[in-house]
Amino acid sequence: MAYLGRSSPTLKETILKIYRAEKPIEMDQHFYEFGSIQYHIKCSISDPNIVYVSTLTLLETQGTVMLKEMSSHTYEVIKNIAVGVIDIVDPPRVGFQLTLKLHLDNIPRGKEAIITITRISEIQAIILSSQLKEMLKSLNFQDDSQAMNSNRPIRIVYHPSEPFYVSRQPEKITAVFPMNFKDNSDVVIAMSFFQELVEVGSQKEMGKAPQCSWSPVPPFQLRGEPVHDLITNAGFVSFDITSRHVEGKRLDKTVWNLLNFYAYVKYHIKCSRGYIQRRMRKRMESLVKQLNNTRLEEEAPEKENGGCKYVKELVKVPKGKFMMQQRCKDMTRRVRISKFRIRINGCARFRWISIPKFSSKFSNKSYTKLD
Amino acid sequence: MDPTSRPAVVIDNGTGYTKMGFAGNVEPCFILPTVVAANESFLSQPKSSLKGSWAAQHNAGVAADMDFFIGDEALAKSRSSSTYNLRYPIDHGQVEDWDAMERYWQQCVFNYLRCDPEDHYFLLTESPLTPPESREYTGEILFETFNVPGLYIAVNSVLALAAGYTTSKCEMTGVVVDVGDGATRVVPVAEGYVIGSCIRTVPIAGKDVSLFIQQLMRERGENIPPEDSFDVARKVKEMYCYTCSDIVKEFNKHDKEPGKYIKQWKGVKPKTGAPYTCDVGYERFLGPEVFFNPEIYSNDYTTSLPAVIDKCIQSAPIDTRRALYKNIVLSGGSTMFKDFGRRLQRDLKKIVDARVLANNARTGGEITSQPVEVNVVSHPVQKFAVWFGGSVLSSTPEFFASCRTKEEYEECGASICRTNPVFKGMY
Repeated sequence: MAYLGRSSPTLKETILKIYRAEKPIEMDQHFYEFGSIQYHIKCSISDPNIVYVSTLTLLETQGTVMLKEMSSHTYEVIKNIAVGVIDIVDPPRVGFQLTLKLHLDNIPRGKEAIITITRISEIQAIILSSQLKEMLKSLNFQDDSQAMNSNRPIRIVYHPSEPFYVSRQPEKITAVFPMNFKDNSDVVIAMSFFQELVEVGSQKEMGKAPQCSWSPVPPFQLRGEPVHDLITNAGFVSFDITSRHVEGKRLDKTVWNLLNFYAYVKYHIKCSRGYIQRRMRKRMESLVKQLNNTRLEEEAPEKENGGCKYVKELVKVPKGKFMMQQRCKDMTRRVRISKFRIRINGCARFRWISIPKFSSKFSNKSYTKLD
Repeated sequence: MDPTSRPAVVIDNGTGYTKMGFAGNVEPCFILPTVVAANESFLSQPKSSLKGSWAAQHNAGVAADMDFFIGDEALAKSRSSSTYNLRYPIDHGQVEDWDAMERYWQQCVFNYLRCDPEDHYFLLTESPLTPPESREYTGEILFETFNVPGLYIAVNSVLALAAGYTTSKCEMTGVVVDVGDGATRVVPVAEGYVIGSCIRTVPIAGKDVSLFIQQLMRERGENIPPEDSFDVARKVKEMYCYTCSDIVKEFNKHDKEPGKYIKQWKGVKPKTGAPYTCDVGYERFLGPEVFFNPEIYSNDYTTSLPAVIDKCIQSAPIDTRRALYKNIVLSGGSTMFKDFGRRLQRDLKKIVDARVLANNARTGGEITSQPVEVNVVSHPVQKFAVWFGGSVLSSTPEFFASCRTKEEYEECGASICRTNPVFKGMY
């Protein structure tokens, strides 16, 4: 799922394009990801081997451990991605946190190039994770006396208006995510997703994964936080992270997953909505086919009679439509839409917009047989 | 953060390729083929089989539903494994398969652009001949499934005209010659409104040129592996083709100096990995010649492109004709052949001048009309002129006010998407 992969596809694609271009090209592009990350790529014809990449994130943290600046450790890690290729430009471009200067001619040829470029496009992931990693490591190794005093959770804001909290307990670290959705149907889908997550998470096979729980009220660690952060319409999801999840390579993964939990939930909801819409559409098509079949059958005998054929057909049609409305009320609008696409011979005269008028007229009196 | 403070997402869905990116940029971030490879093995199982519980079947169905790819990955996957079927959601500019289209958009937004649809306004494009129901359906999908805050569905010809703004003047009147991969259309636009009755379609497009080149190379007996031949033809077309001024002279030039004109194509056989080379000769100029002399390619269709453009303008209202001749804008990947614009201008001017002369002769030379100025505009962003126009349009401050917002959608329903205000604020 490239959505939650560490390397950014737009960045990778653009750098690859510049790298592979036979003639030097001019590029000055600005893109956004996940809403709060911005990239800027600049490359000019006069200097074809140098590409400037700038990034900006909004990662605020409040609490006992303050980490606003990027530590030199992060710079080292970034430089080590590809030795000789990346240079950090100081001061960064106006409006951005970090500007890198890439020397494209130092990138090794062949397959190595793609790997290197992929790693370069992970810079954002590295920057974000490093800050959180430092915090988690320091939380882990604090001794108990200090821990008692500083029990307030740390508030991390990755995406504006979506903070989450990390707090330390004896033996484990808890991350709590207050979930808020603008749309009511989103809330419904999200709640069922969380329920399933908790169920699956508490199974025996998943013993190694962080324990997941959901509660409609703020858990006790968050008492004392500003109230506006604690108003949610879909409850609070919390994960318990033990020390085995933060050692070695797993630290990277844990941190990345925590940072992207909101994005993942939103993605899941949108895909579920899409799936439901697709099923509804399929069902509607099959029902419409049935409707067409019945209509075409009724039309054939009617054509022989002269005179009152007009009125008789009008009567027949609302009856069928009335039953349809009885069966699937909320599909009426969609049926109307689909009718315009499907041409039925002989019915071009009857615009479907006028049909509900007839059906309401006839439904007021009970069905009277026309002679 | 407010969606209006972030640039809009511009997606241009064409029959062959989709261009997508953020507003304010000069070129799109991604140009992908419009194709979806879906795993349909689950659907073929009979519904009545009770293997496993209903919940398990449902879950398997959901999992299979998420298993699809788009663009280049889709083509690669379908070649490598047989569980994936290719589906082309757009045919001749119209969306035919809404399920595939919805999946395509889902992957575009989440996997390629990696943005949350709730954070950005969207600008989509459509062809001028789309029925309003199609627009309504698009709006429904975007608002219901993706929860976008605002949507604007633009006509791709008007956007192509807007792409010509950067050069000198801003003209909302002109003829857009859009030669894409699947369809070629000549669309006259007056004051930002498309003159629907004068739209002409030409059945020859980029794909036909590639097929023609493939045919020529096969007839000459070049040793290209058969499964790759269409791809090779397409790449040859993009790299080596040019437009000539006169076929006979070109043939002579090629015969006299083969070393200068005949190019080599080097490729690698996919199955064995052995390299091979082949010559590219007459195809270089015969490919684009298909537009000007269609009889070399197909027997059914024999009207050349300049003649179609001329007929189209002649059927437009009489007061717009001079303005239309003055501003003929090219857009689409297949207009990128070298000197395509010049050849088109020259041929069209010949037709127009011949007619003017005939008119003057008919009146005995007493009444002469002013010569008609014919001007074909080409600019460097032709390949994605529509996308570029969309990017320019959505960077203006009036854009956000003219979008259809989610609140309007909730209030009035999907029918508001049928109309989108024409953009006059770009001057």
